[in-house]
Amino acid sequence: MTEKLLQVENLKISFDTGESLTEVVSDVSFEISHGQTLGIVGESGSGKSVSARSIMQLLDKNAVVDKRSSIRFNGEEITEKSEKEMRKIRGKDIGMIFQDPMTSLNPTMKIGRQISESILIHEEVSKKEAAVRSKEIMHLVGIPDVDERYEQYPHELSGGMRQRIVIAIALACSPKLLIADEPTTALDVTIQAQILELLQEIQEKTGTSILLITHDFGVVANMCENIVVMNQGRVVEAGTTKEIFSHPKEDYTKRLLAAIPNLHEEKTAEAKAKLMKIYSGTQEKILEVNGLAKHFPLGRKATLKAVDDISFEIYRGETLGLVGESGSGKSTTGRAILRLHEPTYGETIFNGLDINKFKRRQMKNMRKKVQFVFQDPYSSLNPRKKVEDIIGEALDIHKLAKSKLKRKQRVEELLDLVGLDRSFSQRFPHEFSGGQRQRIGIARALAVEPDFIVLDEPLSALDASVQAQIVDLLEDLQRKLNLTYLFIAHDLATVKKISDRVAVMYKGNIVELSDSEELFENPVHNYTKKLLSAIPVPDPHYEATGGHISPDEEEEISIDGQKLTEIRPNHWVLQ
Amino acid sequence: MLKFLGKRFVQMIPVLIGVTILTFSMMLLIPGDPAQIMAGESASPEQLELVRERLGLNDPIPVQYWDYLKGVLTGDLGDSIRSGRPVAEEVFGRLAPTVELAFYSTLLAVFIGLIAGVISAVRRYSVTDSVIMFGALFGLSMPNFWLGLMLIQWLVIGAGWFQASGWGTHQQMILPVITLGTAGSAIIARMTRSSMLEVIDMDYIQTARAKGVSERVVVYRHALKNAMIPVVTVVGLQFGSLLGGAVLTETVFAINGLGRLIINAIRARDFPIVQGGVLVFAFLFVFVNIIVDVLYRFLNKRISLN
Repeated sequence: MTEKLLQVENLKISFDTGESLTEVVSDVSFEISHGQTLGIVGESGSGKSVSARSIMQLLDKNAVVDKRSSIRFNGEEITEKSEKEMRKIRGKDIGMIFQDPMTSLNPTMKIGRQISESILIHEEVSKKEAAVRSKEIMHLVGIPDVDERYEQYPHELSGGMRQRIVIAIALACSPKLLIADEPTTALDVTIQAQILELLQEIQEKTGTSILLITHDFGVVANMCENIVVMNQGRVVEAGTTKEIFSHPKEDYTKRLLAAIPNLHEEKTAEAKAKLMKIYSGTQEKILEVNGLAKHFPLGRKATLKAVDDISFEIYRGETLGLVGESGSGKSTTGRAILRLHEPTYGETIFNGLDINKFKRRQMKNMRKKVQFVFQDPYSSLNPRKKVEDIIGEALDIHKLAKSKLKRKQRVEELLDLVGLDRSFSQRFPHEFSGGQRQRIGIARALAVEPDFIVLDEPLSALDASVQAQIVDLLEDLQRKLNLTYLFIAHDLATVKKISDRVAVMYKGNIVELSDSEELFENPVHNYTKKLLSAIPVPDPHYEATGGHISPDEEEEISIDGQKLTEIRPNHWVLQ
Repeated sequence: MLKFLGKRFVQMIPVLIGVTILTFSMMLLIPGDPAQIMAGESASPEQLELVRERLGLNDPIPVQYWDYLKGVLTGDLGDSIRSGRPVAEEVFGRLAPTVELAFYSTLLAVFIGLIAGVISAVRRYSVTDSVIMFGALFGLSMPNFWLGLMLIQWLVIGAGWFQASGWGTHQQMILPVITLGTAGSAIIARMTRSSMLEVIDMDYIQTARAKGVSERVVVYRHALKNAMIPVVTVVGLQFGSLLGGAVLTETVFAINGLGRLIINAIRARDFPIVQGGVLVFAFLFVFVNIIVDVLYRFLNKRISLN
């Protein structure tokens, strides 16, 4: 039997909290052969990142690795190595890629130097040679205009480019093992597809092994030969990717797999009936946006047209999904509709009146009818207020509770409604998980009994299984309370599940608008096609057929002077 | 770079005009009649009128300000009441020791503050950290004139190592610089510590460690430069308070600098000197903060110089 490249056995890691030890990783074992890719899949708190960092011995100071744990890398026991010996392995034999390319590069150091630094530490070469090598690696990871980029600082590059640089740093000394800790989580879906493809290419060219850590089953399906599923510090299930996808043994794995939204699911009869009513014109229009625009001044001359002249309608009781990548203007649209950002021009007609002409007083009344749920459930709840007061504040502002008792009762009702325990009303936000917080955020929005709610990426900070629960809750509430949603997201799959109709935004414009089935089955606009083909398919048998997109070819899709046209009944495309 | 500097100098103009308005208003705000003060208690009404005419006090205020501004631009800040010599001459003659004192104190403050702050941050929550932070709190809370007096007590009168008056030799300069620099080094140490702690938790520090960079290089090459960005701003503001502190320190150590000139002028009600001195201080402060701005932009690559 040939020796494996990496063998982790009985890994046990605890955090010293000062009073006691909290075990975060228990009895974790896995192995990687030369040239292989292993995926560790788990939700937040599963201990997957801590396990990966322990391979590099880059744990926080309060982390304690149990003495019986063994990490054998390339035939040597890592846990017995000194800091000095570890430094020779880090960057040379093991490279690491981090999650967020916006923060994982030193902002005050030139890109070239950040790559060549690694070479200069580990190999006895001249600065000149190191520079030549660095540029070769930059070329390998698909960076155009290498000589120019070499002298630039990180802020001068886009997110996707930066992640390529992070990968270049990790690859600088041709490591035997590449640890990628959620390498695409912070990226847009089209960029994610490019980065995953790049990792595969690199593996083919260099034969390096990859340990891929992710929460996303879609990412591992086509990347990894083997998968380890982790939950709460333990390995739940391990096996080949095909085995786990086709015959998951454990309930937890089954639940995770079931939580992956299916893009080809058919609509329910109920949903179809709703759509029919909208299309036949019998459903009441709740909101009509006409030529709405929001421009931000950039300095004296330039303006950023975040939202550029968009029009759409929303019908009572429906969910309109608004999809786009970062910078597409989708969030600005949501905010401009509620005048959280004052629109530059255009009309927003709500229940027959243009709210952009409203005075303060009218606006306040209007806010009883429309509400907003924010993306980040961690920063959108005041940490110093009890849940009762967070939810109750809206009641106070609009004087909806006649007495203290009434207020308390109403808050408890709302907690019931979003599936939280009544006793939670006396607790503070930090005591809750992300999913519970998002439920509190929803309860707060529901407090004033609105007709219409703008949900701005309400799921993107949550784990997949929690996302599914929140989607169910939203659908349930919509049915019970006859709510109308504008659901903003960058994730096409969730939008498909929850939305009746979907609008795709690109560069401040709606490029395509139709019911979700039609849009996903028959996309017409080039940008919609690009978005759809970039979604990782959670199926190991699926061979990627999409053409290779390198950054050189990252062509701009021109939309100048085009108009939204109805090309098929109820299917609108910008052309 | 030149474009940025040019822009900054243009932006400086309104600030400086504001400064001249303030110093000019000092004359109007003096309790009593400036002419009376200048001419002396025993002056006759005719003499007073003469002084008024000479100072232009009978003109409307905007005209008076205009004359004052013209004076400032041509370097004519009026004459000292006490000595009769031009204010510009008196003030610029005393400028050198004050600027030197403030400059060396800043150097000392930055030197000690950075080292102490970095050590504290790297060994956070250790005994060393506690000792340094206690020392910083102590240095910050101590009035600098008291520190000066104590230093004189121990090292001049007691040990006899230094001189307690004058400016120019090492023996004369070391104690005032320590006196003035202590509070600054304490502030900079605290600032550096908290800024370093913030930076050391950033992802790019992890990236550097994952490259196999040694901890010393992580701290000095990767962390410190980023941590310096907020510290630089504090240093600039600190220089301003050092100018203020110089007034006290010069008095304690009998240094013939601008601070002492102003103090003596206040005592003698020599208002043209006070006015001129304050004006020069304000100009210095504005100028130093331009330097800080340039430095800030040099460190923070995300802000381009244009």
